Amino acid sequence: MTAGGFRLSAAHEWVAHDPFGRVKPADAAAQPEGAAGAPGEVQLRAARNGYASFRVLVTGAGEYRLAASARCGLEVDLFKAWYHRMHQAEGQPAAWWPDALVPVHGGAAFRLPDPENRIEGQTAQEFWVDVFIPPEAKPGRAAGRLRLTAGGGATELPFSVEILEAGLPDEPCVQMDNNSYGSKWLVGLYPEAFARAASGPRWQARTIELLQHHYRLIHEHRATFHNLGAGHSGGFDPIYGPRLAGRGRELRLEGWELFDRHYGPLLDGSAFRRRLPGSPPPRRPAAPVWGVYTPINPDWPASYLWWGEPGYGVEFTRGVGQFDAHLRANGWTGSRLEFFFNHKKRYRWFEWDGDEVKYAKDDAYHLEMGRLLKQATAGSPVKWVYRMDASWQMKNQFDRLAGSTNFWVCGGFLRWYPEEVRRVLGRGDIVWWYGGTPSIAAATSSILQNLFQTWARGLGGFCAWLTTSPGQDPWFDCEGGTTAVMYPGERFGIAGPIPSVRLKVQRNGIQDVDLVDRAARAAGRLEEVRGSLAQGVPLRLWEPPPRAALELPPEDWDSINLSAEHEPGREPLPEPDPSWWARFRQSALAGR
Amino acid sequence: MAAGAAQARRMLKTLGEVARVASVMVDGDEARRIITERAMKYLAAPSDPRHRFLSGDYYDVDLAAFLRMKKLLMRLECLADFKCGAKLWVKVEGLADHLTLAVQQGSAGRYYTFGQEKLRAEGELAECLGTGQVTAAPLEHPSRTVTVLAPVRDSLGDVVGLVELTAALPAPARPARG
Repeated sequence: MTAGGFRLSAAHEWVAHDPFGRVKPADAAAQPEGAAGAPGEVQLRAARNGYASFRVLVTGAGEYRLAASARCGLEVDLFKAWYHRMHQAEGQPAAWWPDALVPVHGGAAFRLPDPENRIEGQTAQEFWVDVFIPPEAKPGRAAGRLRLTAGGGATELPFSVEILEAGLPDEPCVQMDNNSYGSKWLVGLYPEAFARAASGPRWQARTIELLQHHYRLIHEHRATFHNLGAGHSGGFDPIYGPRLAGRGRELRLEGWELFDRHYGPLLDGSAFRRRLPGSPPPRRPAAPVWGVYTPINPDWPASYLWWGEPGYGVEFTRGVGQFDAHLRANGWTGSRLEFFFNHKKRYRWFEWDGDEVKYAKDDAYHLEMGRLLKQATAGSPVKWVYRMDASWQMKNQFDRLAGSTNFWVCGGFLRWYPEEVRRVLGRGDIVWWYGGTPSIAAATSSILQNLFQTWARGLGGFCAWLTTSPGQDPWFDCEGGTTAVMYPGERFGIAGPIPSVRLKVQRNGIQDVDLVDRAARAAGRLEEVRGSLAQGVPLRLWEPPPRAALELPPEDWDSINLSAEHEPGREPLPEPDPSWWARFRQSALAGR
Repeated sequence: MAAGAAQARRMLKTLGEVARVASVMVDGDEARRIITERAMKYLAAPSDPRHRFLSGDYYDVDLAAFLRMKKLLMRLECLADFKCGAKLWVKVEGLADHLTLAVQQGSAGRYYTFGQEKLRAEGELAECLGTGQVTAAPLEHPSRTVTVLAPVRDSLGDVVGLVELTAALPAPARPARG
């Protein structure tokens, strides 16, 4: 089937191609079933209220148009993949891999080679196809097609979707979280948006709008977004919190306008009813965001000048009490309000580690902060949680901070402590872990490793430590994208973030997890199913600690004596067969 | 332009006065006790590119000494009638001509870059350490800050570090249209 010399072919979501139609070497061994069957035919199976995806490869030269359509109420979204030119070490050949996905609309015109992507001799263009199955869709088979027109001719690629009886729950069973810090990075990613908004109210308005777009994009991809306002010094921009007035017994929080504009729509869920610029309409139902950081830190709302003195407790309980009252007055009680300290003593602003405590003596500060938080928020319906990002001391902190910290975000050392983690989960604490994001150059299915380990370990979530920093030049000198799962859309005339292949592959994986998890729970077989699926996956969930971790106190650990890294993204990922997730998907779609 | 220069001179004068107070109030022996011996040893050692967080991971302080100094810097900061940052730099023991930050207060600063562990004392930093005098940094600087340095002496009269006082210059007024 050709038109004007163009050819359409389908590929599985886990198999990427370069701009010359060659399969990415890291994906080459993938032999997934289901998406691309016989040539020219795509067969998908999917639950209702969810997505099924595949890739379409256009090969040829010249101008063409591409459109997608489907019957039975299915909604089809088309995205053009951007080929990131990877950073090239001296002597290495050039490489381009797809990741950023630019939303395109019905019948849009394209060219090969793509003048925007600037790849000499480009002969192939990948598109990502998302098929959304509405919750009210009738189970059975539904058909759709992609239609390419060029040179007065047309060619089509039909696809069909077997719509399952099962429907996906609105809320995922695990939180795949995407973290970010502050808002200054937005100015670099969106120069046009900030061209006439360098400071003041315009800057604040643009920043709030763009941050909310990030929450929207991630929410639609069945995940969560976090944005930390307070820096290590304790300072924060006024969009993250109200002003302080007075001191001591007279301390007041004033000027909530910016905070309310920023967080109100997130905390009542209304932000998720709005369409993201350039993107399809929201399909995932609007709901209050899972959780948000608060601006509370050692120097706000209480002045650190009074730490250790009666005045600190007075200012803290007055300030946090008023914060809590403001949330209650607005009915913002559906999200978790995260009491979290990000500072580290190595940056010299405070003498104790708020984040990743290395020294046991610092836990006294956390215990005191926990006591003050309880005092300030006693009896409140607001879901306050004391979040601790733990690494070196986690095993000891699980006991020492019990009853104070109740939301743990643990580093990779968590794999040494299966019993301790089960115990903490058993007492009702939330336990996540954190790490990095696989490179664009890695096997496409690598992005599912963190998800699998989260679910199979019985954890509540995973925090990718930084997901909004695509690098100096992600388009033509890409460093791998290990700190980004979304990209600025400005280059394509879109006033907000655009998704990536990795984000979509992860979303589809979360759907699988939700189906498996729900079926297993309903059958009372959750542990059995976890164990059974883990057996077939060449990823280690737990492992014994190294000798140094057993013999030395955490104060004396380092990456040399542990032979292990505690910083995210520093340890190489395992490299299982690139279609390793296939068994999980089969289970998900089979409802077991 | 003239108003901006006058403003900068006024800020420089104020920070100079604060620096004079700092040079009297900051105890050099206390300053030297803040960073633990082990942390200082790792700070002085050459950075290992294979374990680039090693020195940070071993960074630790005497809690009480740090807190006292932090509170002192917070109070010094209040002596200026504009927002400024106050940072205590101490000499790295075992590594000549190098300083490391011991305590910082506020976000304004001219020399510290995020995650930096030590820096070579050059220019006005070296001048302050060498002369033991309150030293103003050049006003012309890409950071658009006003900075004054106060020497910190111990009980032997030796200069063991300095207090950096830095404030951001107000943004230049936009030229009138027409």
